[in-house]
Amino acid sequence: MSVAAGTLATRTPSSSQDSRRRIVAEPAPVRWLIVGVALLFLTVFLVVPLVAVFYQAFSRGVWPYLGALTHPDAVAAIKLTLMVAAISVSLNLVFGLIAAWAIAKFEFRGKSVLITLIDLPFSISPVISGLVFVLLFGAQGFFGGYLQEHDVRIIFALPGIVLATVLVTFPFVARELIPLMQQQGTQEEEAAISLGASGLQTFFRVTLPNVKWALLYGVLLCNARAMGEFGAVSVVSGHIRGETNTMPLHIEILYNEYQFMASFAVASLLALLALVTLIAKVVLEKYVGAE
Amino acid sequence: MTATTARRLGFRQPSVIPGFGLTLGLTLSWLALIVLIPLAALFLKTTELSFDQFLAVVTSRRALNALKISFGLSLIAAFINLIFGFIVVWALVRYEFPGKRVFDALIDIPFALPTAVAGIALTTLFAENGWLGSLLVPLGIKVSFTPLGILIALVFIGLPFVVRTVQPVLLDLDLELEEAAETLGANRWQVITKVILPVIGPSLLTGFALSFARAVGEYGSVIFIAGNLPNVSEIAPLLIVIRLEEFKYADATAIAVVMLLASFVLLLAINRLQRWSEVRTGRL
Amino acid sequence: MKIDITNVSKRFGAFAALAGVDLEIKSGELVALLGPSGSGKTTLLRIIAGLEWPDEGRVLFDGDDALARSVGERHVGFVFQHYALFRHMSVFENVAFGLRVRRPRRQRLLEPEIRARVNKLLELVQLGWLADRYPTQLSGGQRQRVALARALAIEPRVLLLDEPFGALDAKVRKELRRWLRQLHDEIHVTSVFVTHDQEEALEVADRVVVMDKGRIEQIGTPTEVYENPATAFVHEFIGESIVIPVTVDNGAVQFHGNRIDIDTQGVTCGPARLFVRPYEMSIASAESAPFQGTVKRVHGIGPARRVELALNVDGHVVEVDAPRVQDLTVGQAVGLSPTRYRLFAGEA
Repeated sequence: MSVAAGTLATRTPSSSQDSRRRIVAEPAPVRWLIVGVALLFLTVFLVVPLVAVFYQAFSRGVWPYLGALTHPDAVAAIKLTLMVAAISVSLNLVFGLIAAWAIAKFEFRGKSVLITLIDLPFSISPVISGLVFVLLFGAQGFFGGYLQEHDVRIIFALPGIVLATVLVTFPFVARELIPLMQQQGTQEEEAAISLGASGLQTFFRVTLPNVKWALLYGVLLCNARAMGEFGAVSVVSGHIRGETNTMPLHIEILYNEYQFMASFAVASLLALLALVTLIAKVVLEKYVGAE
Repeated sequence: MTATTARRLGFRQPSVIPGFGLTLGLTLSWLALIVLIPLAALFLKTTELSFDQFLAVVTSRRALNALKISFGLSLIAAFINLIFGFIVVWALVRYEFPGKRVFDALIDIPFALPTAVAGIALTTLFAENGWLGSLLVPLGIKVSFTPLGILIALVFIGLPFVVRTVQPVLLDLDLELEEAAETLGANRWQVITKVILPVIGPSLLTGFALSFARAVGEYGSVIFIAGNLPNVSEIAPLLIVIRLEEFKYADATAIAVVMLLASFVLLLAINRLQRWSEVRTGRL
Repeated sequence: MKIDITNVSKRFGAFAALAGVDLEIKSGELVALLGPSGSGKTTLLRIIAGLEWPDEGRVLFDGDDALARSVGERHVGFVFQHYALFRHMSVFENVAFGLRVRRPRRQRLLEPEIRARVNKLLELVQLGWLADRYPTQLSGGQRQRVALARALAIEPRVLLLDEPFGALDAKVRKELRRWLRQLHDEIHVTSVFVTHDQEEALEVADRVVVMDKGRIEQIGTPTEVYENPATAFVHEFIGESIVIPVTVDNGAVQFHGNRIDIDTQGVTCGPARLFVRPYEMSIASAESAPFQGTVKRVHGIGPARRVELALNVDGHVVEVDAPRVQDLTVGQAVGLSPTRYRLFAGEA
């Protein structure tokens, strides 16, 4: 496991300590001080910002809020975000399954290097993740001239946004599946094959059902990041209103134009997505644990 | 057929499960297309600069200050997260208090909340007329549009790392170890310093390193609150974006390479740390 | 050191782990707390150690109130079931831990003294050659002995062991228990160990405390608890028993309405159970014996053979040891007569 904690993927361990009363513990005042400091820290840094998003979004009431969300530019941003997420998540879903199969079901040299490489995008600044595609496909990029001749737009267009998003969310599905599939071993697959199943039958009837919750979990995390990615997309998008603006970029534009309420209105949708993802995480962890 | 080839190459153990060649081939191709070739392009681009030019870009006052601000503030933010993360994880694992499960789930907010949303929320909160900023004004503390603002944003996005790396180790820590130390005459302080900290130490360091690595590359949550004054509150990722918008690709790339190399070193260190941690806590 | 435990009770929520336990442990004695899981034996051990506090009752160490002292102040050597060795410390450092944390600081030994003491202890447990290893590199039996050396390093007034051999395989277990007995004979520290294995308790301990459901059923030497079980539970828990449900009526024992010519042993009216060791039930001719049955199966090697018999009337199957010379065939009708037995009132 390398940069495991780089994602939501790090599991919250269930904190069920034994009910045995602890003889070895701190005195009550120390306990309350520690809990107090912890809660104050979490409240200031996590709870208050979250509340602030919704408070600002509804600061002028429900109608202006809905108005901000139904503004043509906002609608375009929402549509683009959904499309980008749908494409990138599907690509990474397929890749994640293929990579997990190769890594978890076979023993080969260089495996740990491969796992590290898959995790690599977690440790790259999002700005750099966008920059590399500008260097490849931008006007002055390596393939820039060729692309212009053939009138293909990648940078400042949908393909660039998708590429940057795929790079940023690259490890999410794979890293959810690999540890679980490694742990499950190959016995069930071997049994299926000894019973006459083909490779694909084995995959769809044995392997996939065994990891379905972890897969769903990985997809949710991947989706949350894909919809929310800002830095990488900002570099490749060109910020063309109604065309290449995703929701996070639209939030930035509105905010810089002092349209705070509208900005927070769009932000509230993404904050809601984050909350739903967190709830799904808590729920799915139980199922993944059972797998 | 692929199986026999692979066996002849001798780099994998034989298996009856099919699809090795196909899946590994696809994995490597996709990895190369999306990750490796683009990253290689970054290094290739820097070769357009001579070494002196590269050095001139990276050591220019503005670039150097941006790197200093990014790395320096990230280090401070990681320290803050180390200390408060430890307090939070201790409270979550060892004590019972109302709302514990909710707070535990909320720890992941910085992972799940898009950085732009976090950015505008923190900026609004810490503005001079914001909920938190207005509390600080009488104390003469200005957060928004200062380096302190950057620090706040970096603490926010790095918050979950220490908690989530230490939590499983502390949960795993056998209660009997502490009891054993107490029967041998150790007081609470000795139990914490001689028994608990050595066991969770590596995971604390890992969390610190992860938090630092994340903060160094952070962009979205910082740029709103930072004010982005060159040499004062301009972070390195922002300078990359600015150079890019000026079409100074080579300059942008040079700064990016420095940052990328730093993250590779960090990644290696983190991998080492995690191995060490696993060996030390006997999980290997 | 002498330990006096008076009327100790402990509840965990609705569960009564200990209900009014009285026990006196003499100085230098090796005592086993024996019982099934949930009998309260580990809770009692942890209360003696100071890892758990009783809801009521008193614990005295040589007449001093031990409950007024914390676990660290009691100077007990505690060997945990899973050893609780510090994984980040070498064997040497594990054993030295208690010496290095001793308070007040001026009572702490100097480094050469610590080295000498630890090395001596490692020799005592025959592990001197492993001093620089880490716990994960040791076998179960070796870990066990390190844990023991670590507990002994603080020169404990009492040595407490929680299921000391529970996690070991059968062979190592037998060796270690002989070794523990020898060690105790050498160092003579008052020792209490918890076990659910009767063989272990009977072989190692000076006295055995048999516990069930938070109460002490019997305290005695291994011979006493085996030969003269005080309660039905002890008879059944220790050694093998043939148990036959009977009734006592009008001062006579009855088995399914038939009067049986054995002593009531003071049991008055009502249901009762007859306990007989398998080798104290003799097989005789059918007519004169108190019980009649049919041979179902004969097996086994060695001096005695195991005979499975179905009792007439209710078909209840009992297993009896018969001498090798006795001729028995499957299907044969025989009589059973206990040569030594105990009768306890109450149903199963």
